[in-house]
Amino acid sequence: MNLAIAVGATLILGLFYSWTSRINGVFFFGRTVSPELRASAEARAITQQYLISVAVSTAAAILCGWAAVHVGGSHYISVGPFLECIAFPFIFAKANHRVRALLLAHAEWSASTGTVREAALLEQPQYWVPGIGSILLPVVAGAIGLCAALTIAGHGAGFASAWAKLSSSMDGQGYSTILGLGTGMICASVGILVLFRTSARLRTRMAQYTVRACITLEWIAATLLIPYAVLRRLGSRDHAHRNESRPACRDCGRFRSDELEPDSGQAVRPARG
Amino acid sequence: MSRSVTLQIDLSSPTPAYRQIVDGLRTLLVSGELRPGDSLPTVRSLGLDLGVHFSTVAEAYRTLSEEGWLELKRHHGAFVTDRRSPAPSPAARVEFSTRLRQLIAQVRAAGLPTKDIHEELTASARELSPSAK
Repeated sequence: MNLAIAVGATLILGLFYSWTSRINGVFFFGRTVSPELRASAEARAITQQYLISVAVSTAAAILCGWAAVHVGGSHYISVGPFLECIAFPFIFAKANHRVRALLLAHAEWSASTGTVREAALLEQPQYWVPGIGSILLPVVAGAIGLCAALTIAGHGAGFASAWAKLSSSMDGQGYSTILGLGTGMICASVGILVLFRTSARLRTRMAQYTVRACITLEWIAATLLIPYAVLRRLGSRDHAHRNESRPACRDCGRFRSDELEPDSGQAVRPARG
Repeated sequence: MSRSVTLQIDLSSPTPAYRQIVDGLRTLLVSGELRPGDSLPTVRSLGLDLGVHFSTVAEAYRTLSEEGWLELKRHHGAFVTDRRSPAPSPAARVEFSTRLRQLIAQVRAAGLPTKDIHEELTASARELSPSAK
């Protein structure tokens, strides 16, 4: 089940990343261009290259996630979405770079970047330039959520033990997917925000839309990680309670699969042999 | 009614951007277009608008702050202060005279007649005088 969730999340991320290139007629990979330039053959080639890269990275992320689960177990279920989220800023940055080269080759770039610059002094800026604090606050909140989860899981037994307990508790409830999705979303959002922060093109309506969307995405990811800690704690309690009466396999330490759930209303069959 | 005050710099000019920002802001301050209590943009915001690094704007703001024109507040930009004109010093007069002579020589070399120089000088002095407002 976990594998299906991870594959689904990776595919949805891939579709989302494919859609971002078509979000607006004048907003082209983080740069404001005219509709004519966007419709040119060179621009269409950039879009095509971007979509191919997204498709390839999505397929690679699914394959890596699948391989990681088969080699390392269900603990690595979040590898796919995580890789997809990490790959996206690089693909986007490459497309952004190619659009810049395209703009440089056209006259509109030189017209828009003339040497005389003017700034309004008394009009308060309508655009929000996110500070480092605004960008990193959700990251800190997410980190605190994870630290809380580790502290609860560890019971003072040390980081390694806490991490092992937290990892071993990923039991088909989709917790690991939430963890991978949350951390991946945070990494991708921070990457895009840092990229945008250094750009004068930040002062366009669509760039502002992207900045606000990324900040929202960061907070969604942070709030995914905090319930993760809470659910993890509740899940581990329930799991531990249910497993108290179940015999564990001597070889792998897992509970025997042929045992019925104590709370399922059916009698527990004794283990054979 | 909101006023519209703009600062313009030329990035291809041989004069450094920092000096252009200082001179441009000082002109606006002396002419009264920027008044006490006015809030200027943050260094990052103005740097993005002018296409220069924010440290260039910060250096310009610091210079004007040392001259007593601006009060700098962290994360809130700069505010125009109610600066009182200091008593004219002999050194300031000598510096003005030297720079003016160099400037007049430059425009005379470019072919501008003395009459035009005189008119421009009088008009500029009147425009930048606080009593003219």
